[in-house]
Amino acid sequence: MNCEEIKELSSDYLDRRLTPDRESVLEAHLESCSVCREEIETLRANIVLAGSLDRVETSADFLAQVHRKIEGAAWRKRLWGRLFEPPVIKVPLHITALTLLAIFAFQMFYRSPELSPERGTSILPESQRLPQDLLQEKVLPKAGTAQERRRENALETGKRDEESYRLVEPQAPTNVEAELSRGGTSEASKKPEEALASTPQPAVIELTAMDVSRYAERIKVLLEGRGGRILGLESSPGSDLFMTVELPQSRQAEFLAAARKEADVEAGEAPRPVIEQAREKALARKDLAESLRKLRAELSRSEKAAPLMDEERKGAESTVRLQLHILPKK
Amino acid sequence: MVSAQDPDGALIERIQDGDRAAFNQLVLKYRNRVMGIAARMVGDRAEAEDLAQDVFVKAYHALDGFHGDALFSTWLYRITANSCLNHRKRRRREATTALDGPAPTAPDGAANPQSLLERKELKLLLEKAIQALPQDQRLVLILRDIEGLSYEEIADSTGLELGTVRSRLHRARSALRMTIRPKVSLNGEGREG
Repeated sequence: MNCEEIKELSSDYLDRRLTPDRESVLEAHLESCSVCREEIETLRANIVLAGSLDRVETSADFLAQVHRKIEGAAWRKRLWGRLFEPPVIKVPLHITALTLLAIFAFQMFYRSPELSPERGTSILPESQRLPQDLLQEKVLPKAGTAQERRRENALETGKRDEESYRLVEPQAPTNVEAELSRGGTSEASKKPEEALASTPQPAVIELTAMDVSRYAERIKVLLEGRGGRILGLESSPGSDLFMTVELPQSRQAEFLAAARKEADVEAGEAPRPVIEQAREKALARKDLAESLRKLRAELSRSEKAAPLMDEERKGAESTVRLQLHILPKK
Repeated sequence: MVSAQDPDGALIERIQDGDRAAFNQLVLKYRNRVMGIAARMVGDRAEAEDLAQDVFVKAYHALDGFHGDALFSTWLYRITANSCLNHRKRRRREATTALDGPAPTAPDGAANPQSLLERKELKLLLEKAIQALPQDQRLVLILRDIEGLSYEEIADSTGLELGTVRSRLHRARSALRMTIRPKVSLNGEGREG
């Protein structure tokens, strides 16, 4: 037996797995070969050293951790069983539920938001909007500071009384005829707007209407039916209309009641979709401009007849002047 | 039915009947052996403990199918060996993490302090050398020279042929021989054969 063979058998020798004959031959070689003897001894020492290595111990809660993992696995197994057993029934059910959920989520995500144009902005293209000069034409001269402030407040806040009108500041009725007659014929021939400039500002009454222009025409009819007349008109970019009117004091309450009733009738109309409302507003502005032209034309005709009317009014009861602020109902 | 020659036979039957306390006894009996194999195979203490716990969890769930074809210990080592070989390291391997540092040693009144220090250093060297072995050789060496299993038990636990066990063991020991040449006298210490 040579040294190479001894090396090959060294592990078996140390583990006592050689036959007695081979073991004898190997030991005889070791007695004569110091190299092989040293190799065997080194191998033996390493085996003994490995056997004496310190035992690696578990932590103190090892058993508890094992049970915790067992419980966790059992829970997962139960959950799996409840969810997917029997698979023939449960799996199609889950697929159906997930599909319905996905459809619902898709619809919610891609649902179009309702159009809500900002207040005061037009959704019509520039070419369809009315020229600003028609809307901003002023008939009345500037009022006093206090009156102007009240008018601006009414425009800005846009407050709407439940009964659709609000008396801002009642004032003593003014006798336009007397004032005009004091000024003489030259005064009588003055335009009502000019006469108005020299008189105290009338009370402002706010009225709301769906269609301002149409409502203005109705007001004119109501007014004339009660012996009144329109003294002046002023509109704003927001489709508001300021109408200065004059009528017999005795017919004031009746006129205001009729005007309120007319506004309520209009308010009773069902709200229309936002896009349609915007279009109607644009058309309303156009109608308003037309109405303004008509009313002013009638006004100029009434100016010519003013001396006659003034004559008729001589000796008649005192009149009251009102400023109607007609606001579009939003 | 569990073999009557199996020292753990009675415990196994009780566990199969739902006796939780019997399972606890089994865990306490084999936990350090399983931990030792896992620690030297994986090289990281925390991972080894986690792996050892998993071994007993698997054993618990598979005990209903244990019919005594082999000894329970062999069966448990098989689960351990497979788990170690299939283990994928989650963290970067640090060879000295699990087995480094001061390790408890049996007091030896006959050896002098210098010998003890040298022995300690040798053990550390050996641990590192074992870690450096290929996985298949390492497992066989651990089962044979550290855990003391016979060639047949190793073959049953690993599913290898006896000849394969022998050759892998020989190669592992030869590699260690080249690395370590103990200088301390080891008369009468450790196991042989």
